[in-house]
Amino acid sequence: MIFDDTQNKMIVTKLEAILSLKNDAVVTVRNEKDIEWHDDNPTSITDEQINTEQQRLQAIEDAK
Amino acid sequence: MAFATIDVTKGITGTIPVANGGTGLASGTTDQFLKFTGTTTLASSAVDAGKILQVVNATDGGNSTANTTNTSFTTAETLGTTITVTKGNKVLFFANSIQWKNTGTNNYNGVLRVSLSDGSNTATTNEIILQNQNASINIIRMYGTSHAGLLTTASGSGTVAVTATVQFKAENSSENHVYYGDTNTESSFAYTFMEISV
Repeated sequence: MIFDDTQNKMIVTKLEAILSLKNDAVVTVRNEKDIEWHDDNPTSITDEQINTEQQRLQAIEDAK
Repeated sequence: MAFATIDVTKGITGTIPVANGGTGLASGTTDQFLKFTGTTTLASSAVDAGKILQVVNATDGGNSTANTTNTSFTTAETLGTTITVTKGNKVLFFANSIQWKNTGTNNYNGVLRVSLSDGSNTATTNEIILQNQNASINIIRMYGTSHAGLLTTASGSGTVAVTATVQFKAENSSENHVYYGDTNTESSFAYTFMEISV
């Protein structure tokens, strides 16, 4: 997670969402938008799945 | 009275000595300078070796983010400022306080370095290793690390641009991951290129 100064809270990153879906994913995420799969994304994780998981994890974090 | 012109290509043979206002030279060396090598002697000369010819400094590093689990070095950011130097010269590079962090299972390392390239030759700076940080710290801290490297550019005539690329990697994809940079522009890092004559 990263701390967002403007929102004054911890933000769940796309990488953390990807790792939540596949904990051994080999991937680089740049600027929270460009995803480079170094393992060719063997389970074909979609952007929609990542965004949904990111929102789910963020809701958990916000509830703390 | 009209001034009589002289065709020096026909009226003079050999070279004109320095003492008579000439250079004493019939030819010179490409890409070198004219230098007094004696009180009445001129010759082609390269710039003295080891001299700093120019310095380029920037303070915009790390204003983008990248996170990775890759275990091979991958690009975190290609820095926006470059230096253009005479081919064959060296480039000394410094980066101060590159901000990044490593997280995951204890004792798994993250590694960061900077790669220098002129499109033909490459060199890398020192690598800094961070172990996963103390579990008692709730908020993972970002550390500023310093890096330096020396690139010898490819020989040839003309000039070449040298770029610097921050690279990082994790030790184990399922055990740790590495964060680079920050979107907060107040937390950028400085980097400096110096062209050195050879």
